[in-house]
Amino acid sequence: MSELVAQLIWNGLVTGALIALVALGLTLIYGIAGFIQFAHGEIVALGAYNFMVFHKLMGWEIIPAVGISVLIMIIIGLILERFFFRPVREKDPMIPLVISIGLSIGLQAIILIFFGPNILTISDKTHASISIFGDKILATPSQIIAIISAVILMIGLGVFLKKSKIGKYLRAVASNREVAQVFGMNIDNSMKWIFGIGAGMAALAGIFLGFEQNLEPLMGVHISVKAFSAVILGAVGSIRGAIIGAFLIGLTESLLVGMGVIPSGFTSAIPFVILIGMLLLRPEGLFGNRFESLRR
Amino acid sequence: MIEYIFSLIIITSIWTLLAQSYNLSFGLTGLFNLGHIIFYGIGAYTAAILNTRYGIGFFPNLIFAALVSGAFAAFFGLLTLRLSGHYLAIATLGAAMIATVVATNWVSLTNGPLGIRGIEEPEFFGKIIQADSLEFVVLMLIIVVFCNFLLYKIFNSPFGRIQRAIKDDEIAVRAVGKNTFAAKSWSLILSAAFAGIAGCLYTHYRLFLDPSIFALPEIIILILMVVVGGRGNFKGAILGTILVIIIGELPRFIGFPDNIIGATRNLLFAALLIGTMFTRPQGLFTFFTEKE
Repeated sequence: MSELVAQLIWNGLVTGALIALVALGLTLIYGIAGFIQFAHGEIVALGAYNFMVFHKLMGWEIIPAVGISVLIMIIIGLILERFFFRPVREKDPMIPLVISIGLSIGLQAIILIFFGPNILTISDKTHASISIFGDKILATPSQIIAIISAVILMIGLGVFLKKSKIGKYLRAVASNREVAQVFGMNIDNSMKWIFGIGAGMAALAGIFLGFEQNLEPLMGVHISVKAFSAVILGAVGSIRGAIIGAFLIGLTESLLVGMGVIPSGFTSAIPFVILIGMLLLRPEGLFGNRFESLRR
Repeated sequence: MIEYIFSLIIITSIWTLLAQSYNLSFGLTGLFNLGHIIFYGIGAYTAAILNTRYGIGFFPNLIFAALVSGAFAAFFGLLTLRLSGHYLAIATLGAAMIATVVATNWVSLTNGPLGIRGIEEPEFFGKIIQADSLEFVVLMLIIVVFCNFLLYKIFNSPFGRIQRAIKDDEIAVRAVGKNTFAAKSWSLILSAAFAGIAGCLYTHYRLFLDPSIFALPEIIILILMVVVGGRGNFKGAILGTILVIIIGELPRFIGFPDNIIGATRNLLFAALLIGTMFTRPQGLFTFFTEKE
């Protein structure tokens, strides 16, 4: 029994780490650009497909393939920012939101046209599971790397935002765009930074996700809706909130379904049941500020 | 060929009603509710279940579908209408996901992914009206035009003006003593009731129903129709629906291979949505309202 629980907690942590990587980008973009980027999930999916092309079809080693896929997705993130979101930045936040919905279906269609509706795998080799923590848990190497790199990225992002000069710029822009602009900060640059960071982390999440499951055009939607819930759960714009929300969703999902409390068919509803329940109790999010949520 | 044109007219009229109902809550009141498809689906399932289990015909079903959808919207509004903006959008999107999951897994009620078959065609004084016949087209047009007329009255009533004011500045409306929560709830309930009617029309036209009615692409098409026409613009929603349906049929005629027709259509929809937002965010058909 305890082995089962330990295994379920491990699986939940892996899912949580992947959701967190996606959610961090979303919450940064929300905090600074002020809208929810619906096409973020497609960056996850494109990252995974990119990696598949370089690693499986072109036979690159894993590390250079990861590097080039993340780089390509960062460039795509910057292109989206430059050509789709920058022109409408000063307008009603509804407009970039609707544009991102359009981008989402457009990018899905592009994936479908290029790769077809068939389910693909990222690698033909099955990676053997290894036992960790005294034979209690079976984990694949990619899961271990996923958790370690997610933790490093989370801490790194926190330190970057707190300590570095650009991080301070970003926080200033997030807290008050006009005042930051008056003090001579370049809003275009801060947008580039957050869209680049967000896309890079999303691509990485997509690659790790590709090791866990098959590649299909809708894979990005499935993880991004969980990430939306995580972001709202922890209060939009909050880094700590998004991380805790992500792990909460990953763990609840894994434990409730694995212990047989809820039939597995209901898995995809769990994040939203948690989300709606929480919004009723604490509409400002776990780490939100009641005043902020009223001021909206 | 004539059957194809009939089916196109029927589909367009069902979507017109659905888009117009969405235009009431999303366009006029400004509720960014991504779960409107739930009300359509609930109307459709109400009609399908009442028809296959209890033999209730098409016309009473129209009323039952509206009532059940409206009642559900009252409950849905209690849960979600305290939220606004992006919070409302994500919570209602989540509700749509939950609806898919429930429709897929509650097999005893919905027959799960296999769907409900054997729904009867509408019967008018003993005469069965076949799908894709001229009578069916006339029946649809009468119902949809009548519902649109009711919606037009709602749009231009004092109630409609309160909704428009809430979209502009909710706090100001509250300050002059209007109960905005009640007003928003009623907007959602009415909009859900008409969506339920549209769902009932769909069920009795397709004669088959499965959980894919709640799917995400349908929500996006709905948003597209309202946004292209202009949010809160009554005529815009109708023209937007027609435009979107025509564009959606284009890839079939240009002769793309079957396996990418769906993707090409979505690409066109994406271009239309983004193009509208860039050039005319108030909608492509604003020239009707610019006089006001």
